[in-house]
Amino acid sequence: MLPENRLRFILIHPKMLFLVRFFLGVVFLVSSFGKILDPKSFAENLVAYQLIPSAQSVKYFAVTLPWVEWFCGIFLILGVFVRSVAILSSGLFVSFIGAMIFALSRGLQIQCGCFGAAGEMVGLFSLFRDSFFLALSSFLMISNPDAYSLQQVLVRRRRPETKGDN
Amino acid sequence: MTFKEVDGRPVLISTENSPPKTSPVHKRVELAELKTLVSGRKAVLVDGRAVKDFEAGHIPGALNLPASELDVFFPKFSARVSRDQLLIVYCGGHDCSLAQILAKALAEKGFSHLKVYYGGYSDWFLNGNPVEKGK
Repeated sequence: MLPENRLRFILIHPKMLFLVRFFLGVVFLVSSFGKILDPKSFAENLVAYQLIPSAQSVKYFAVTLPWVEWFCGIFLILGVFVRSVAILSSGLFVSFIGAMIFALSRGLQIQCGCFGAAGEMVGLFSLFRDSFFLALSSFLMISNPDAYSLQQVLVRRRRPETKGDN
Repeated sequence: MTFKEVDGRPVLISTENSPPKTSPVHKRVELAELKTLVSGRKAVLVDGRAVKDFEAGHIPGALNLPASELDVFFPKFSARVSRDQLLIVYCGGHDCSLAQILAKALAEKGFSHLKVYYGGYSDWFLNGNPVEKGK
């Protein structure tokens, strides 16, 4: 097998797709927990980025964004609406990376707020990590749902019934 | 030693001019008290964050004294602020330790009237108060 074919075989292998999907789901769940439990600290992190002009908008984001991440995590782990969630999560990662680049370009020394109040500062590590997550999310976006995802399991279970009906 | 009235009660205080040698526990100031003190010009606000963070947004009227570059900025600061003035030190928010570090450093340099606004810039902003940008 040619090296490029071998790489392609590995990338589209159902187990690889499952691993990527499950890993991203766990990332989202872990990321959301700290923020859901301590929205005040997350709001403080958002203020430090100096991107959102009003206090009300910051509070709105601080309460809703962690739950969006939580649902992304659950849906990715279960494997439902995988492509839609991958599109949403890619959008989230693009906005996180954009905010971090904006903060770094202005020379701000602020906490990332990536995984709640972990105290991690915005820097090259957080930037590369989110870029890696964006790559994984984009990979899910362009791939078909893996055989282990709930939506594929349900489709397989419904097929015999459909045949029987016909 | 002398007596001074604090909160209506006589308290024995030291008259020695030397700064405290140990790390003091700085008094906490909340938003309402901060507003009263600042509007009555009874206190000087000191922002302990880095210059760029300060310029991106700060509490109106605050002076910037980056805790990480104290040696560079302190001479100019000490020329503007007398040691008997009440200083309220703040930084980014509750997770930020710069305010405590700065308050400790200022106490060691002879500033005895110090309070820390632990809520910091984010608490000020999230409560809908106006902010100032630039130097």
